[in-house]
Amino acid sequence: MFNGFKDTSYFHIGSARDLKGKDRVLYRTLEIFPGLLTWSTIIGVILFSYKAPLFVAVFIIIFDTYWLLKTAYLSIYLRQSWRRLRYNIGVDWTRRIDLIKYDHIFHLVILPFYDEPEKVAEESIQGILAARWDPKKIIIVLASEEKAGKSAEVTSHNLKTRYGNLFFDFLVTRHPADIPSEIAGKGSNITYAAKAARILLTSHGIRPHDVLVSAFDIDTVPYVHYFECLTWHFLTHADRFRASYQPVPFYNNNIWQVPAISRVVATSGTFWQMIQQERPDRLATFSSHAISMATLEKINYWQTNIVSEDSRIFWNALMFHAGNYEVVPLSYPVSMDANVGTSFWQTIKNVYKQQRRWSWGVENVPYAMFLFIKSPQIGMLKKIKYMFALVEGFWSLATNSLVIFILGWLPIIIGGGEFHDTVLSFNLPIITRNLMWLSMFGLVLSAIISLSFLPAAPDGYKPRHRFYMIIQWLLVPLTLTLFGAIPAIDAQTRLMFGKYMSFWVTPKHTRF
Amino acid sequence: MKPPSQVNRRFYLFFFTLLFLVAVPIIVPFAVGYRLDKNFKLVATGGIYVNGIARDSEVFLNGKRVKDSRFYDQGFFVQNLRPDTYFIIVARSGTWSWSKKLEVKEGKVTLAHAVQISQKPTVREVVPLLSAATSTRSSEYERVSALFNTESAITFLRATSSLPLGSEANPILKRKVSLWKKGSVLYAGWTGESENVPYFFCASECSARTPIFVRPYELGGIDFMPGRFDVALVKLEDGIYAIELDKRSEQNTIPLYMSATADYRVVNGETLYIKDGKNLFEYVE
Repeated sequence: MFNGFKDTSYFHIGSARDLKGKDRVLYRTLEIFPGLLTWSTIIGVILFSYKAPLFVAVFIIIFDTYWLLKTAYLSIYLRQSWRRLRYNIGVDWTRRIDLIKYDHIFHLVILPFYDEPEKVAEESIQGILAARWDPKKIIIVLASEEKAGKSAEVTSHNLKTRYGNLFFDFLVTRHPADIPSEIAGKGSNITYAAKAARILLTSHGIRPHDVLVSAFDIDTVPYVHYFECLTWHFLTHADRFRASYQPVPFYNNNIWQVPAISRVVATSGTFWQMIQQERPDRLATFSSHAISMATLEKINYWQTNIVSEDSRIFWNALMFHAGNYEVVPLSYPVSMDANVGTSFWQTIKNVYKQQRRWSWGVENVPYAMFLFIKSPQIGMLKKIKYMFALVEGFWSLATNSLVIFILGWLPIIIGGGEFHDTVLSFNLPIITRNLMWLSMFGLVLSAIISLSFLPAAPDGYKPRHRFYMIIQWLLVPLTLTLFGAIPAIDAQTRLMFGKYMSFWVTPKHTRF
Repeated sequence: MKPPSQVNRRFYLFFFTLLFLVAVPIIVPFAVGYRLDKNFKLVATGGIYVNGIARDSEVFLNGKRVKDSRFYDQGFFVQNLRPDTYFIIVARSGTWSWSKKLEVKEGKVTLAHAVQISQKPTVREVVPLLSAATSTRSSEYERVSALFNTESAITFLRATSSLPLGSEANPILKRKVSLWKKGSVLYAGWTGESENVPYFFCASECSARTPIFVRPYELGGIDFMPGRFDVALVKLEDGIYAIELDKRSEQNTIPLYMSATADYRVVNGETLYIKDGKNLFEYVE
């Protein structure tokens, strides 16, 4: 059944704890690797700033240059993605999809929730109903958690009562609490829900090959042509069952109501996904994504023993298909909630925790490396390419902003008298400052793009609020460090020491 | 619309990699101090950094005015200088000009700290009465006048030693720089680690003990200038002078307050009080 590697027992590894003997040692070593790389960089810069400040100053200048050019390089993709997104939002997908046969396709939308307010789920369901796709070809799976107690049951019951007969079917699942070998979280919940839905499909006589599963968050609201766009990409793909389909996550549901910090962090996440959409060979599934039920069943659904099931499903599928699997960028948005708490500080905490959970995607590094080692069918070049992209991504996230905004000044502070008298010591801050100023053009582009996707302001909002949406981008150096590097280091350090994270449910209850 | 083709993506990557490979060999040598001369030959240069310059000052290097290349607040940084000796003048309307001959070495920045002192000092009189109507005496006046009840500028501080402060055995200390006088000679010394000796003790070579100033007669009170540890104040027969410790070229000796009857005290290394006749002043600028 599994054609990526010989031993299928490796397929759903959660951590080194799931292995024994040499495999465990190897996997544990690979878990240590990303954190070790990050800490070596940080400690190296600090140590050498004292011992060899000249060397570090040259390194910093080279690094600044690399960062500036990387910013410019990525901004090309961002601009292209922006064009493509706007084009795709404007396309008449109804007309386009009429050119192909699509009426056999069903959409199965999984909406996992814990104890979020009914209204959050209701808005998502209404968004699905408002989208251009016959609701009688949509199956909703409202995936609740037994742990959430009575309130989740009531929410499920109310929503099914109100919306149940509008769709082809409306399934409510209740993921049992405390299943051994599972960790509580989205992965275990949606896997349970998808398996239940699979039985439902059989009972209706629907082939899994004709079902596209959208694994949403409870706050995910699809844009109007989402299902048409997804179906079109699926049906026109040459190898449609060897692909996942990735929309662009916008965080527009509550963008006007959240603090600037939260807006910048959320929109930066959108930008990163937009950039990745233009580089499909580096794209992994993230957050809300879609996949054929047939493929999902073949790879045994999402892993139930990890936190970052959204990205892991891609690695599972890639390994299963011996490297012949891809993520198709839809370049079409779905909208979600930006993070917000009951107070400013609560928002800061929530944003940090969410970023740390996303950074916990670093658990894919040991998984992918381990399975690449165990999978001779995949070509070496492909393995190197994937691993470089993965490791470089997490290393950059954890170190780049720290090196540029904080550690880069260390040679001047602790470099000693000998270094202080050098031309290099005087030029280091000048060159760093100038290169940073140049890279600020990237922020201007960010401001323009974010404005173009901004939903209409709610009543009572004044032009100055729109102005805040522009100047908020000055917070980027802060957000890159506090909500990029630090949570990434936090996550990598936990993995390094085997302190495995559990799933943290992002609160969605404070936008009303 | 589709994502960029592999060809385009390879082109972007190639272009930016090329840009990086071209930029680094330009930026790094530039940062280290290398420049192209008129014959497109790579030459090593150095720079001069002069601290303590007021914003409206003019700086002249070998007689030519240097365009403002201010770096930090109150600091002036000029680079691209071939290794040589440069004569630098810092001028400002209303202050004594400061000048120095400084040697520039390859890849190094020669440091200096200008002394800018007003030609007409601004002082604030410390008056004995807060209010003439009530005859309330000023506590500040009482405190400051008490400072001058001792014999000289240095003796009022002799709290910790029976030896006169400012003598070789009991020098005045500020940030590890010591200052003392012996008859007609003013000395300065470095009491810190030898590898951290400040630039102003390094003329042709670094010396941790050096005579700073000589007069044909015994010097009056000595102390550090408020806010500085590289400038001494000396009371001479016609007034109070600021004398820089930096002996890399002729030292600047600048009149601070001219009056034969003037004496001074420095409190906490920051506030300078002057007694001229019966009047007490706080030196402002």
